[in-house]
Amino acid sequence: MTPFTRRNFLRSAGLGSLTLPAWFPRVAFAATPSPQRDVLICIFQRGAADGLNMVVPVGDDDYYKNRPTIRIAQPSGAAGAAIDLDGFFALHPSLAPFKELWDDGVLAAVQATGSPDSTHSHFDAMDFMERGTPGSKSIPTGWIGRHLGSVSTGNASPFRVVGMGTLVQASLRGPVAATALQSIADFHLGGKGAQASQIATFQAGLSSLYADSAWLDLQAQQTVNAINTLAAANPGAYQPQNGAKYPDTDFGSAMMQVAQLIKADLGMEVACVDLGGWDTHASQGGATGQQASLLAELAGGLAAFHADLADRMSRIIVVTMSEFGRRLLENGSGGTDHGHGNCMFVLGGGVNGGKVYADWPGLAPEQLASPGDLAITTDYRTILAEIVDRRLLNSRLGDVFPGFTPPAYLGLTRAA
Amino acid sequence: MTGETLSRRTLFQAVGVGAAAAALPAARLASPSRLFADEIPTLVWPRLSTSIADLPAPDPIVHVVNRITFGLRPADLQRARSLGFTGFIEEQLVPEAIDDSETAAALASAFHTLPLSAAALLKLDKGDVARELKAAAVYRAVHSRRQLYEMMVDFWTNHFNIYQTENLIYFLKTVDDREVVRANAFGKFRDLLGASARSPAMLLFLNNAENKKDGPNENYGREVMELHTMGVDTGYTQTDVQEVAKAFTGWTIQKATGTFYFSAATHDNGARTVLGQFIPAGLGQEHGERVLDILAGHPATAQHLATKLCTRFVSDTPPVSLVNAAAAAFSASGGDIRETMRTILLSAEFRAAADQKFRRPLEHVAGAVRTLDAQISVPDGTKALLYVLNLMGQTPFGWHPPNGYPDANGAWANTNGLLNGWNLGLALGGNHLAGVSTDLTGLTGNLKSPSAAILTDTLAARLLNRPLTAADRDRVVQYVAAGRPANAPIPTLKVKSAITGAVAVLLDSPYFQWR
Repeated sequence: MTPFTRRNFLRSAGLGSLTLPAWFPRVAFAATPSPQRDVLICIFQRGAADGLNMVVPVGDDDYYKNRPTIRIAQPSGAAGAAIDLDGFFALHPSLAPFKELWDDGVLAAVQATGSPDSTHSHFDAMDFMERGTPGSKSIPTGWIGRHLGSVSTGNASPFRVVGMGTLVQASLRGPVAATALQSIADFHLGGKGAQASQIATFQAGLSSLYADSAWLDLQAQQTVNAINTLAAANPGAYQPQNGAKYPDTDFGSAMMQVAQLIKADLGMEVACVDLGGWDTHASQGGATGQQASLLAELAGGLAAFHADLADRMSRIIVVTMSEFGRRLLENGSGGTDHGHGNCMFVLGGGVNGGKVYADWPGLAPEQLASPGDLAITTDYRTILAEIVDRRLLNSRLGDVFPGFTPPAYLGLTRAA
Repeated sequence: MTGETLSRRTLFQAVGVGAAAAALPAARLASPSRLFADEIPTLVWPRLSTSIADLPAPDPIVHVVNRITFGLRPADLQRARSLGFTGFIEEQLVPEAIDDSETAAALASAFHTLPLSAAALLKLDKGDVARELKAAAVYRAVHSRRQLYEMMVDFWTNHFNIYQTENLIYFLKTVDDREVVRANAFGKFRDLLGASARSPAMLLFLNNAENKKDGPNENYGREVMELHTMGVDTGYTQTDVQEVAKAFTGWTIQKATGTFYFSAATHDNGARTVLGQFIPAGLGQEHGERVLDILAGHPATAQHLATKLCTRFVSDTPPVSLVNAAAAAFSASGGDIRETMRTILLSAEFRAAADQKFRRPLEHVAGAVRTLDAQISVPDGTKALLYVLNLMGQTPFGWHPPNGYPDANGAWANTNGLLNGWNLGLALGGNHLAGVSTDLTGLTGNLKSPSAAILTDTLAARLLNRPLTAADRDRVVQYVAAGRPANAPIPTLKVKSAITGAVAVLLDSPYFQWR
């Protein structure tokens, strides 16, 4: 589609002549490495993913009554049918790569969860969810930012927290600067001819102009540190292991680069990755179609990540979320409008997987949240609080989720 | 622990990153409310603009050109100096009186799809159509003399955001750009809103093309209130969303021609109540128009648009006094965009707001090229600049959600944006960007045998048009001198590379990041 490739641009712009240094020993950043603490990977499905067609309540007749054309057929083994999980819930067929993770006990789902605020605005709902303060915008930081600000790991790596993409996710806002990263391979200064041979001098000269402590200076220092760190670690051409095949998409590429950074031992504690396109008001599709393609991308990316990281998954936890779910009743254009309750997935070696955690509210008219949405029986912060506490070893939950006291944990995870 | 670790940690501390992390020991976190509300204000998006107070302010003429154009092209700066602060604003507020025939001629010869009808566009390659529109947006930002108009086009493009990468939208965004955004950018808001509501690209993007009485689609009904008019949390309810959606049932498109079509058969012709106002049954297409009347005239719409315009043109946190004045001007003028902009730009608040905005990628890329007075060719030059925009995260028409690219300093001032912006400075300084050509020695006024100090002062004045702090000036001189005495003539053979380095380091400096 796009006529530009990196290589073409490098040729035209002359930025291709910078040679990376040879292999350097890996750099250890954490002063007191904490082998117990999981690396958190937070996946945001932007646009409000239809959770009712992800972890499908095939045992609930009201689901089928309300979705005449986009329904997922009950498990039967036939192509396009849902994949049974526990007799009541079943996976969308495009989430088939999840089944093996499910059977291995490393993947769990929570259904009828989400942010309790009733907004149906994407932007308010994302904002609330990422702040971790549903209904309130008085606290400017994000829940992950506050988590990082409230644990003292002695970790000064510029890759301690990474937002994949061109903008840093709002959940990361806080006292620890995050690195926005699109491409490991391209994260360096480039020049042509004499410029290239003097790039270190240029970098030093430029850095001297960003020596203060204002936000932009800190971001610039973070950029330079990240450049230097990658040059020293020289992750080089990346070869996923164990036959992992990441989807050939921005999301797949982002997940692969997160895996690469983790394996390079650059001190990563958190990474955020976005997958957009879930706002399926029309032509959502059922077993195939628009949402099915996105689900295949999601599942393919996470399954590849899991395979690639293998043993390291024992110290990694992945959690998915979306700003809200979608209306139970499909609309006249083969899609679904903005809803409320949704499902989340949690993946990792410390997860008590193979189970759908759900206090199912039902889908009968009187059981729905206005104006016809899946109700929420588990506040999403309950799930995140359990992860923060048990897997990220941060008990300062009042800092991370101010004003929220989680009820008993679901038991999604084992204490690290 | 390796030596590498130690030296890097030392570096962190020297430059302050380590200090920032270490400055928040656990003990201070005991009182989260204090920490979150007050103690880290410069680390959150809304108040980032307060962190630039250290830079010496530019003069008012530089400020106004920086703010109502995509960057300081010398001809515009000269024009502003001759017309004065207010005169330049008044001239830019009447773009139809500015001769821009050169840009028009260049566009006409380079791009053949821009004036075509939907039906004609649909016969072409969608990639070609989409590429031409993106390239034209960049070309206009760089070369048009109607700079404020182009900034308004950019504003409304984001306000009525349509993601270009979807099926028919590849073709139809070109029509939307021409007949909705460009035709109404300085007109009456109600006309703009109506044109957008009937725009085939918008009807497809927000799914109203599929909104039928049997199972209405709420997408457009919600976003027209939340994003296009009133703003979120301004008093409309879910019932209002559903009523608005029903009012717009049947507003669809003819796929064969790519044009608007009202389908009476799929329109719910019943009576509606929207925001407490009754709309009688039987009005057909007029139901939607009545809704637009209600929304365009709602006080929340004036406030919402005033806030967004002041945020775009004044500051991320615009003074309430100015927002109120702009909203009043909007209402009093019957939603006249030009009059609203006149109130904003001629205000004392605007005059006092130098350096409050961080360059978004388009302003950075176009601004660097304009500052250098570089010429860009089509397609090579526009292609190279679009590639950089893609790396920096602001491809024209490339934002997927319906709310448009963020307009907050903190969203863009990050490691990805800085890195790619810096590489652009290096490429421009070296004149290495295909299709973009700069007269580098001309930038210095063809100085003969300059010293590092003179070269720095000359280029800083030429490119930044503002004073540097003494310390920063010394740092740039030191870099340019490359170990030679600052006041000694640079050896003839080294002058070109000295200019290259100085141009890059100045464009990559903090001074260029703000506008």
